[in-house]
Amino acid sequence: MADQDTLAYLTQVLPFDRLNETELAQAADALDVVYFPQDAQIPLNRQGSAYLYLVIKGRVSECHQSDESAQCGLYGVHAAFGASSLLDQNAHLVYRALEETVAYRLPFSVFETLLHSNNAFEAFYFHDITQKLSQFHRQLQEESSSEAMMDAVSIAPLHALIEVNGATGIQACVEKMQAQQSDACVVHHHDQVGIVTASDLLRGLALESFDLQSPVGELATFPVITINQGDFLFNALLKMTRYGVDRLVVRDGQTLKGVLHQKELMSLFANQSGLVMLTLERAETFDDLKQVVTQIDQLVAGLSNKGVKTHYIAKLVNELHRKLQAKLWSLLDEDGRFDDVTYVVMGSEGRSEQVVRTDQDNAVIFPDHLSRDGLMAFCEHFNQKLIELGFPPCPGNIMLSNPEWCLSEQQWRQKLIQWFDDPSEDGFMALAILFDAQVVRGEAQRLEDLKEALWQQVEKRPMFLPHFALSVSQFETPIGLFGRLITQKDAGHSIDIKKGGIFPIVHGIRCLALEGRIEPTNTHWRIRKLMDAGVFSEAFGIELGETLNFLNTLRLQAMLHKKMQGKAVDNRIETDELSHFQQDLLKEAFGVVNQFKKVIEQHFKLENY
Amino acid sequence: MFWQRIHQAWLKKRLKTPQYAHLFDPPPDDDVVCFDCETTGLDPKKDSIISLSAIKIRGHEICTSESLNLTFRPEQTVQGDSIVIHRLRNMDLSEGLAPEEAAHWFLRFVGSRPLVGYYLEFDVAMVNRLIRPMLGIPLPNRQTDISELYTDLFHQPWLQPEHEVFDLSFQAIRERLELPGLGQHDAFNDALMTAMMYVKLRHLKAIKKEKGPVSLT
Repeated sequence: MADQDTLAYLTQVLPFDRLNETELAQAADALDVVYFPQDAQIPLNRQGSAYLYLVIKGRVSECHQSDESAQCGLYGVHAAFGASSLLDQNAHLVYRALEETVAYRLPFSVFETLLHSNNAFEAFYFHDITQKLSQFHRQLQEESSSEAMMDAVSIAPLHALIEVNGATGIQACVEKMQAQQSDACVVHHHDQVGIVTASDLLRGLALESFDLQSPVGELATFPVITINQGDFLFNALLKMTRYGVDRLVVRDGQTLKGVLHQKELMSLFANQSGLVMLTLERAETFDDLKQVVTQIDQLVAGLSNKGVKTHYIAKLVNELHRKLQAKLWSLLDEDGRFDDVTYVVMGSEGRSEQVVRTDQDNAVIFPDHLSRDGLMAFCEHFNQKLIELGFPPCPGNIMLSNPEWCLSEQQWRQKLIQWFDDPSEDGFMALAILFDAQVVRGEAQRLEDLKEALWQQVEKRPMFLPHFALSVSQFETPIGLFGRLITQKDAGHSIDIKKGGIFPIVHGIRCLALEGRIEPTNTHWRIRKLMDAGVFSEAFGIELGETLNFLNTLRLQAMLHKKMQGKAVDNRIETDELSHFQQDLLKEAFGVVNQFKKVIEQHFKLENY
Repeated sequence: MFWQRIHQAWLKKRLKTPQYAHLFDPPPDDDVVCFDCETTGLDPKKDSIISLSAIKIRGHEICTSESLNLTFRPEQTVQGDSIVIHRLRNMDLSEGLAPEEAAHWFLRFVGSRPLVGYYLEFDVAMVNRLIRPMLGIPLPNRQTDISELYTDLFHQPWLQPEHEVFDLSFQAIRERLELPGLGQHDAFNDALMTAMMYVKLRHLKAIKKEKGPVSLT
């Protein structure tokens, strides 16, 4: 007869929350309560004391038998410990009560029965970090209400796919569309695939003196924008907004399946993400934009709670931020004086990895023939307005309002060569930031040319990359020899997660991307490309990506928490606030960071420097 | 000790049912049994037991997995004010054991082991009301009261403020010993908490023997 309190306690202990009622009762019935005074060693081995312990009150440390000074685990209230000693014969661990401890004790035989009877329970102990992490996310997602955004395109209602040859006449085409009750069709014309819509045809007939027999190929738009049916719905929305189209052709691999219309897509987004897009689309004044910023912040908090992977949140938010900045530009440049100016975002914004607006890194590339008169004043004004919208200024002044970062194409090339010729820490940083740049508005070719020049310089100087890569190991990974977290000695036992884990991965990947001429700027996409190019194995790439995602998630949660409390947002996370499960994952994540540092050191032969 | 032995011998002589002679055997192990009753009221002469939980304590281990949990068929209607405390309504008790049968299970579980409890005297009196007609004697087991153990360890008369009574409430002891509170107030949880108090007090007593007085903080 298990009592309710014990059952309620068990459901709060990972992974016992995965057990069904019968299994919970089975576990609860087998529990004894044990008391350990401070400093007592807790008996735990496969022979005489084969037990799993669950802490009711107190704290217990886990150490290696060989070196008791190095603590590799800490268990507090609602944590279960002992599994490593029970499941791994080679683990020689010593458990000690750091303070007086009262704990439940579960016999190994019962624990084993549970492992056999419940897969989810077993998985907790036997999966490697990648599986554990995605399970962590899946669990969060399952707990949340269904969020259409994270569904695949395949669930959306599609219009029938109509395919015609470019030589088909308008009348025949309209008949086909009428029969299928669709308002668009795919056009195959001279080896190209495009799309023609009812309004295109109407425009042709009414305004451009086409007749009913004219070929539709000349009215179609090329190329057609497509999306894979396995892709997320929010990516569909992003594509529509990015290309300014109302329809996407959905494909399964290379086979076209049907047409997704914005109307249907929006009906699936009965939530904020769609709303933000629409407000942004309709914004006409500066105040409208301010409202969009507030909505984006609410969206981030909402999505983070729902367990949407930080990588996806970042992608969505950065796309929105870019649209917002482009809109701001056109609002401020009413008469289009600076229409021919390229505006880029760099650094974390360029990599689409900034979720909470921490600082702005941006620059301007203007054509050589344009005079700088008035442009500087405009850039300063733009910068002021951006700050007003809640994009904090860059502490290093890497902003378009700084004349150093507002240059003509010619000046940029000179600047670039100067950074290479006269290497300095600032120059290295500037190159790193610039390499992650993405165009927000204006002619994209200018940035591409600049990056081409950058690559040429890198290839000309074989010594550059190893030096550039040195800073991957600039900060120690905060993990001890025996897997203990090394924290600051402040109240919350904090860790700078950016220095400790995020920066090494981002910069290491950046170095490899520079070397491999990889164009995407987002770290996850770069990892994908590096995997494709065989720079590292599929398994390691996935592990690295998941690790980065986990670290970013912890950072985002800490930032949102601090923001809510009105504190300054920084890169510290307090380990005391983490659950035991998260602490475990964090240790494993830092293990991956160390592994990656070794990969970089070997790849660029850094031991010679 | 001497008087205790004489008393035991006297009780053994008066025992009516030889079936329970094992109550006077030497204890089978080093375990002690902690128990607690929920009752219809606070008068052992009038009131009766509703539920009883007993847990064995083995050194610093509390063997909750071997605990005894008995629900009694009521002899009289349970009064509203006590229902509020233990949340066992009359309808919850209709499937309980006959009091004699319950007492039999209790005696089998306890055997000759020492008993532990909080204000044990009351619980023992409640049980005695049941077993006296069956055995002709009250419970012969050695008894340790938590409140006495606690007083021995913590009560320092010269430090006690005037006009203030040394607080021996269950809550006060639990807090002083820094033990976790368990949610619902029922026989099992109370017995479990009492058992934790016992384990901790025994530990403190052992330290005191080694190192001298326990610090007050």
